[in-house]
Amino acid sequence: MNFVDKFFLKIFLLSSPLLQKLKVDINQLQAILVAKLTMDNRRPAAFQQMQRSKEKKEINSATLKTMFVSLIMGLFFLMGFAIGNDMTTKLTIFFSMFIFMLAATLITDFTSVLIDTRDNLIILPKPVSDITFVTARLMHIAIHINKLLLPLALPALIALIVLYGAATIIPFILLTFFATLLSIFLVNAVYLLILKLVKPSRFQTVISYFQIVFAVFIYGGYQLLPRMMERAGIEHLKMSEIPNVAFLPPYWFADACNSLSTFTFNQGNIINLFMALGLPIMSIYVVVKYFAPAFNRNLSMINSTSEETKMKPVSAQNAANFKMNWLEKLAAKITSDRTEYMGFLFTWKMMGRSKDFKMKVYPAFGYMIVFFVLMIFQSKNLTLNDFSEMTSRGKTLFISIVYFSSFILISAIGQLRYSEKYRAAWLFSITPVDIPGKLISGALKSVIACFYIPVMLVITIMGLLLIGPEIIPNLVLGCFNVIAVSTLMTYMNLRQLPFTVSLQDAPKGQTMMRNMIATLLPVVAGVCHWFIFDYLWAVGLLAILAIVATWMIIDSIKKLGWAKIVNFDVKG
Amino acid sequence: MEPIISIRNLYKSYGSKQVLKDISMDIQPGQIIGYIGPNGAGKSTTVKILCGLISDFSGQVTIKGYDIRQNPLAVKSIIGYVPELAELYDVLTPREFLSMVGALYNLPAGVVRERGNGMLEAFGLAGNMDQRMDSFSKGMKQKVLITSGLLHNPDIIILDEPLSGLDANSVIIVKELISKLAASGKTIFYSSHMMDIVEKVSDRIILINEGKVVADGTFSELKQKQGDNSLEQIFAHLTATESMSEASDKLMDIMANTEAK
Repeated sequence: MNFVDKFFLKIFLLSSPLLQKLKVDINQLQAILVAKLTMDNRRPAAFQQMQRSKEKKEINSATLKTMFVSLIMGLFFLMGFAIGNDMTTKLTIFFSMFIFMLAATLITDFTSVLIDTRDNLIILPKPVSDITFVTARLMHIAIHINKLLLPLALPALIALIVLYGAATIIPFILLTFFATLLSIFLVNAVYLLILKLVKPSRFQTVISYFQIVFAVFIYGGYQLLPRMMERAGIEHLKMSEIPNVAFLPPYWFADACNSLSTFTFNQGNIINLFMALGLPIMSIYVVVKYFAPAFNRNLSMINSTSEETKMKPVSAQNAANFKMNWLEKLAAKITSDRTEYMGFLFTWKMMGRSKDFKMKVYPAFGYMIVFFVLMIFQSKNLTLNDFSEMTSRGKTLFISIVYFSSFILISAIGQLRYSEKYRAAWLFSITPVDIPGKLISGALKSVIACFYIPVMLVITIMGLLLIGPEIIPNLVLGCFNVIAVSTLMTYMNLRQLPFTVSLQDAPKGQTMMRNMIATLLPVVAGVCHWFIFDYLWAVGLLAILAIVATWMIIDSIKKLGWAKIVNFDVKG
Repeated sequence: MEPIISIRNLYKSYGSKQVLKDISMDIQPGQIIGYIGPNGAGKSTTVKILCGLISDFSGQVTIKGYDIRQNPLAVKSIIGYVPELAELYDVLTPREFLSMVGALYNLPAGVVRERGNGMLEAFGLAGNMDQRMDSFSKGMKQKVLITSGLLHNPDIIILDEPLSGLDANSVIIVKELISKLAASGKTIFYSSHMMDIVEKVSDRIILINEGKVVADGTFSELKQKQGDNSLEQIFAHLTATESMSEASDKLMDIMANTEAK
């Protein structure tokens, strides 16, 4: 345990005399909390879960790292203080960011950190009373939230004191507390909604989609917010003048904080104050009364392979029915032999079902959307004419979008070799696979079909709608350049069979160089494309060349023999 | 002698599915009970009820005179439970994990240290006391779990597949440990799939199938009654829906009669 945990534990255990009256066993409580906090400290922090843990090194000070990140976030919130002139406006922005950030963090933390189903087998068989166990869980949650909360709110508090004096301290702390309650309610509501909509066993997957959306949102906010603020007038914004602002919870908190610290209470202030204090109390009442019981019941089913989750038996007829589905038909069309066909289907299913792969690759889609928005946002006075007339600005935008889409393909290919279940790779070494390159080419085709063809379709449709059929040659050249570049990179880099490398074995140093090339190649291709854009004959010729090149590279991949495959060791 | 575990008319269902149907048994102190049955027979549900993890059952379960629903904490204090599947907080070290478990049993820290160290040393884990368990093999984790289950010197020890993942030498240690624990008056409730070990270790074998007790007695009693030679055969006889050799014949048949293309 580090000093932060020790500090919080001490503070919380100050309530021991009271707890003892409630028949809580303090020794047990302390033992559980010490173990839980120690474990938290060794778990990858929330912000690290998105990255691959490249080091085998033991994680030691996750708590401090998480708090540091929260502090950075808290400093980032100060951007809100640049908006508007009055306290209410500044605080509205702050509380919006605060509630969003806290709720988003807690959504992932609740399952991964705070509610551990192993408790059922480890703590519950021990002579621990219910009240002790529940108190331990609640205290653990409270300590965890506090560790996020303090660094998140501290910079704003200091800014407030500097700007408006010490009178703001108590109101701010009070309202931050209530805003926290509201965030907890939001998290609970989202959880319950997910549990209602999907089976408990799918819960983790849905939560990880949340994480992806969250990461993209943060990235988007980070990119867009400063640009929005540059626009004139934003520093003169007055929250209270915006229509319907009274319906926004962050506004209540901000206004309540303002009126409490300045002692001004008109009718509007009082309503806001009432809402800011009343709504969280009401929502927590709802959580305790209605959500918690259903919540705990459902939660125990998450992660558990309990006897209640029975597999539906597939009827013998169905199992024996070897009719090909659409995927198998597609695979048969675009692959040329059994091994490649297998590689295609295997990759497709693994990509769609492994959480880890999705966590690494899906954010790329989000980043792409942010990038598009950014591009359009930045080019002021952009009109549809720029596209239909293909002005040089329209041309640049078109080329950027087409070539930037290679980002998705490249990140998917980069992830292809990694898997949590890399040990299952023994399969490839004990079966008589003659040319392993066929598995790689099948996998590559699978990635292209799964991740690139949909993007290509969207770009094509948008191109046809905005520009017209005359864009087709350029479109074909662009898309096939992207495919050719990714294929080439596969040929050069991917010397492992799909899903056979441990995530921990991901190399550190070389990837820098590879990433450089990975981003450079599409850029170079895009720049070249830009210069010949208007010469249709050249575009057509090069498009044909790109197709031929793609075909040839795939053919070479297909011929990669065992000697070219980097040996994977079969462990365990 | 008063039975240490007494189960009367135990019923338990999950939703509409009845898992335990009228189970009754009395277990005397010092007995080693081999509790066997096919997958889904209700073994782990029984174990969870005995450990106080499930309380919504009907029937009467009394352990050392305590009703398990009225006095769950008193019952839990005299039971040592070693779960299957090496469920533990594996980012902790054995020392940290055992000190938590010890505190949950309200043992003085000195006792926990002494017993924990001694037992892990006996298991050959003396050098791993301060390593995080996420790097441990399945067998090493199992040894820590067994240690944590015995730490408070319980009267009743409930073991759920305790030998899974252990190497041959550790299996011998644990088997002998079980016999010695029973000889010293402890009651062992041993739930397992491994027939040969159950056959050798247990004083009394209870076989359940589809939530009912289908056989109960010493190995020699069961042998006499069923006329089979090994527990494996008795088990198959009492629980299989179709004969095993029929199933294997079918398998052979498919291999021989379908052509590889």
